[in-house]
Amino acid sequence: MAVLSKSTSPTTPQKPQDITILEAHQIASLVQEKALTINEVLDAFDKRIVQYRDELNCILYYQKDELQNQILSVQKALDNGIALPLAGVPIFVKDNICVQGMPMTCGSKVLGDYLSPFDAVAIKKLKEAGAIIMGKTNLDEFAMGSSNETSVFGPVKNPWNKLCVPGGSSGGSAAAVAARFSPVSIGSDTGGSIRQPASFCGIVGHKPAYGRISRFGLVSYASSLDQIGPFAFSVRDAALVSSVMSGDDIGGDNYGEIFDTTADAQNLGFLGLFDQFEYRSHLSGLNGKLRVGFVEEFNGTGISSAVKENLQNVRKLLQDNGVICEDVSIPSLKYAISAYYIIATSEASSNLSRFDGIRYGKREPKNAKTGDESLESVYVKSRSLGFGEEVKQRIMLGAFSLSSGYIDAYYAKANKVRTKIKMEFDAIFKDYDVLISATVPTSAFKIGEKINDPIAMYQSDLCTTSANLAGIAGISVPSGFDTNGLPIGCQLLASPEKEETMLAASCLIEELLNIKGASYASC
Amino acid sequence: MSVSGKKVIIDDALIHHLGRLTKLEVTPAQMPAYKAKLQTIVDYMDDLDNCDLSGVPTDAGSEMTPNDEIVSKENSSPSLTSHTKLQRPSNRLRNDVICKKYTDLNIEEFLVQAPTATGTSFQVPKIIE
Repeated sequence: MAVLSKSTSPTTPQKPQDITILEAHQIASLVQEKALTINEVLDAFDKRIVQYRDELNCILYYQKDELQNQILSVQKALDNGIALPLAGVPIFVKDNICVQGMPMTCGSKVLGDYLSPFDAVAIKKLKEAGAIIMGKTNLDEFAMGSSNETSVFGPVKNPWNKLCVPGGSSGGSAAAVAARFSPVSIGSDTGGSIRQPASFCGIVGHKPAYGRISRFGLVSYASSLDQIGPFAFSVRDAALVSSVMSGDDIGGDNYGEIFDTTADAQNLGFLGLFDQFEYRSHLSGLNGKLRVGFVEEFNGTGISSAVKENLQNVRKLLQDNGVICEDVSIPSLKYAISAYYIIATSEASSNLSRFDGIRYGKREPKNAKTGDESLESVYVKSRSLGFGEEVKQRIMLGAFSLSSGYIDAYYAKANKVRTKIKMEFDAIFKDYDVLISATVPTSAFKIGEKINDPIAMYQSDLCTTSANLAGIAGISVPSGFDTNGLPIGCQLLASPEKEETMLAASCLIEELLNIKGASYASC
Repeated sequence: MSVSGKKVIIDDALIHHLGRLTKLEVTPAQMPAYKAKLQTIVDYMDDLDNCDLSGVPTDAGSEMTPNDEIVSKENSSPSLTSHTKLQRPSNRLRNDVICKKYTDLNIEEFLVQAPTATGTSFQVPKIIE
């Protein structure tokens, strides 16, 4: 495990012997100042990819020789004197987000040999900022899972311990950063799918407030919950990448006005705040001290003693540094998992109806047993053979919640619970800037340990689903290790209006714990 | 979860019904596993019955208003629409119109992804002889 010294200076770092230990903003500075070439950067990461790719199974698509056009385009912009915040920064992308010309599988058989004909808005913005999109990462099929075990391409291994899961559903993206295949990767978070794997893999995972980043080009799982976000070594990098991806999108379903995000996000100043690393001045600019609530409902039954102890340590450090820390209760959070799974599967049953073997993906032309070649048979066979068991189970559960006779008892009630949770968050955020909890009740569990127990698997999402239900911002920051040396993360939550404060508080925790450099798994 | 005071039982008939709704085949071999898993999940969701929903508007969760039914923050019920700091009217959904980004792509770019296409159309099995 490599341990870096803390960097608090905005100055450009010296070119190191090992480029893969650099953070994204450092790489961009070095490339911008011609101290590093883009090819040097990509070659350095390529060595690690070649060495560990098969072992970890986190990469689904990567063709180094196909990156030349992107490299030339970025180089041309740099040669013309254009400042690019992500100049030459390699980025892997979860395989449920469209990257033009690259395959997209969603970890499923049902999409066959699909090639994305366009870039997702978030990807387009990354490319415009100078990033090099390296390829696609493994994931739970259609982002449905908490362990990255439901992918048709097999499970991803955790770089910290290859017998363990990396978390899910964006486990491939998390493992890619932890293994230093790229300093940043992109995932999606519907109920914790960025924050949970970030915690398991010892890196930062940011789920911006709902709507801050366009969903255009993200394959929908549950549209009212889905959110694109970054994985990174540091909060500063995560904020930088989120800042680049946020903003207006005339083609997406999320309008800026709806959640007051896209338009204002451009002016939120994530970039400015972290460019000069002035998060302390942001915190000191608050009226009085930073006020943090520790969520009681996320610190009770089911939380491991190692995680509880770790969170207590974070609290003490904050208190010792003048932060006001108090226990808070949000009673309805105990219903969040149930409400989440009803709403998410209901939306999924509708969203995934588009995969019918007609317009794209794999078509099963006829029923092999009966010889039936009807349209109905094409639908049924294409879907039945294309989807995996977890996806089929969730589609059926969603159809059940929405079906006549059950909709009031399930879907409608779950939406009321969602509103109740939102109301309770609103009330708490009047008194506290940020809420803190564990990200996950435990550290990474063993591959296969929970795959046949849906309730145990759902419990992994205990602390994360409520942020998606309420549309608020969340982040997981590395906060320590358990006795087996597996990473533990702590989660910060904030209202969309206080997302910047949440990022600043995350920087404070990162600095106080001084474990940012230890986030690099040894593989 | 109970419906009208009765515990929901996931049986073969319900699974077959859901299979028809979702266009998914459930083989006899798969049936026991589907029933058991869905029953476990549905039973787990029983706890929603215990959530105190007093103070929650009766129409919560159904405020998916289209653009022409703009709701102002002051008048709207506390729900997902209400956490905006904007004081101007807001809504949740865009108008149901074709986005420019889609029209930037030509038909051929979509058809190339189709399992079977003919001319400028997706090809499907004959429905009417």
